[in-house]
Amino acid sequence: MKDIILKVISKIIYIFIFLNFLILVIIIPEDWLFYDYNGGKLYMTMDKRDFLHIIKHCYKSIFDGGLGTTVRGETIWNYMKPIIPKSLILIFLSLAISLVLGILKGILDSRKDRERRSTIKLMTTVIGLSFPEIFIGVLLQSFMVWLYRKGIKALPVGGYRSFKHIILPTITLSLFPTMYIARVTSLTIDDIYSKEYIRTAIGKGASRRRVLYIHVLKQALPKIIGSFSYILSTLIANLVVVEYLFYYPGLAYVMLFKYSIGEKSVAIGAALFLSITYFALKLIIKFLAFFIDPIKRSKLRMGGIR
Amino acid sequence: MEKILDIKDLKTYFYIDDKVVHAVDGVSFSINMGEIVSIIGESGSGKSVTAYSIMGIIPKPYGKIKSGRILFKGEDLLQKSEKELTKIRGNKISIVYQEPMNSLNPRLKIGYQLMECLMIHKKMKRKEARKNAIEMLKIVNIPDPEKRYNSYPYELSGGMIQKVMIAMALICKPDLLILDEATTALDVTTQAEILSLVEELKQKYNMSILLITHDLGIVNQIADRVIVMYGGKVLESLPINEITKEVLHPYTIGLMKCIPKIEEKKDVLYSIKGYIPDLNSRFELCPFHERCEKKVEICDNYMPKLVEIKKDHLVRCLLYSEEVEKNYGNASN
Repeated sequence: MKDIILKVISKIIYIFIFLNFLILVIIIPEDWLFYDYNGGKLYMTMDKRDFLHIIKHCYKSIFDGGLGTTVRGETIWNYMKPIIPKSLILIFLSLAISLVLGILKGILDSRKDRERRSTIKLMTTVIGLSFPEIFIGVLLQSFMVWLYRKGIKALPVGGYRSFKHIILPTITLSLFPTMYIARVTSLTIDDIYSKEYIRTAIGKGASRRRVLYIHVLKQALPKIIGSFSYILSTLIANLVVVEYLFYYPGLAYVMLFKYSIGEKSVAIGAALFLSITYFALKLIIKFLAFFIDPIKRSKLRMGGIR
Repeated sequence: MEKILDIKDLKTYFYIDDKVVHAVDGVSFSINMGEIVSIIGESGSGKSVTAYSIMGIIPKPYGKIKSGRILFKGEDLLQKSEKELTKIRGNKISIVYQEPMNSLNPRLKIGYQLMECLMIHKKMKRKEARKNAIEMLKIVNIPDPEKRYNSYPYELSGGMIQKVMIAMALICKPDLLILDEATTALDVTTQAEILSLVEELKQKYNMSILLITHDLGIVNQIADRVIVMYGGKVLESLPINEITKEVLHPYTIGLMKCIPKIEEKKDVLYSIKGYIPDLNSRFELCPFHERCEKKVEICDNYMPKLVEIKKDHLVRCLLYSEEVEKNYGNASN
């Protein structure tokens, strides 16, 4: 329990450091450093007190109950309330789809106890991993436009009004995680198949299917869930690209848009919520990875886990 | 006596890159009902591969059973489909492996791994299977079986896990139990406990046992018959009462000499000179001829056949060719 509390505290410290860095990047004017070409000297247009004042002001805004106000006078918290769920839906849907499809593709890709691994299956995964999200997004949009020209109204290529609008961004966002999970699953399965307890399972008469589902996947699942930490960082980074590309009004889109029009306090608010979302999801994944592992659970019951 | 297992000219090879490892090369032997047959030999002699061939669990994708017949109760296991084999494995033929710590799935409870056999083969419901599994844990002398039923393998010692493995192997009351160096990784006290348990259970369930080991002490203690393997071939097969006085093959003689005697004080213990042969190339000659202390000229030219010197005593050595010729005609070709 002590370890868990320490982990939560360390995450809060990370958020605090990240937030300070973000405030400095966004709020501080671009010309805070001045280089005198004639004199060859570097001057600072702001002193230490100005920096501290800016940070203090930002924190005051954050903790005054509404995270400061937008240019229209609305509190940032109220402004963000309808935006946060949009990004969360996108993230959760992508994670769920990639988990299911990734594991299925991983099972399909894995060699198991066969002589050779299928190169075609492996290639599809590697190609999926190498395509940038922006390319997939544009490709999907172009395809929908082409369909529209042919008279088929398939899916909207941007905006947010109904569930249909979520489909294309979700597909784009879940491609990389799906392929990544497939790769991890396939490698983990192949590794587990070489273990002696699999030989024991086969030796006691377990069918191929039973070996795979009971003995291999149960063992592989904690490792697959463990890989979510990396997936999450890539997912948040790709969220910026996907939301901007599909004109999807989520946190990442608002952060970029508001920064570009100079509403820096809203941009900071969006970034703050994005980072909280990231750390919260990371924490959930850690808990999930812990509770999905029977050995760790059993060690916790016995009070021996560190 | 009725044969429960009859292996004829079994050849199991491993294909690694462009090399072929002749792990088991023409092995033939049989086991009678209720008999304990022991296979002895150095590491790499093909003992375990023989056992895995019987079970049909040759490590894939490299291992393949090239040819031969494995008759179990008169039915050729090599002709059976994978589905048919799953009905035999763990049910009619069971195996206990060498490394107990790695043989159980670390993320499944001991109880589940035990009752899985019953659920697969006896189609038992969980509740009934649980009762049987706890009963089996009691039989193999696991203390506090109900608690151990819910334990994970990491919570048990090596000896206890091996007892669980034995319980798992016996839970469906098989006709043939294979013990693949089942006591090698254990301390002598646990070893003795496991062996007496095996003997006791053998009597109880009237099963046959194939005991694979390189410990001649264990062989002497419980086996009825001994098969000596080397380089993937059977070099000698003899009844247990002849192992201490009438071994014939120079390799078996060497193995016997390797056993340290407590009454003899020696500066250097005896060992067979040389190393086990490279199994990549197929033997055209006796696989032991390079290390043999009694090697004769003829050994460089012929591959000896496994022939019966006297009742139930077979040997593959050209030294006995005269006797062989007398009894069987020219066999050294």
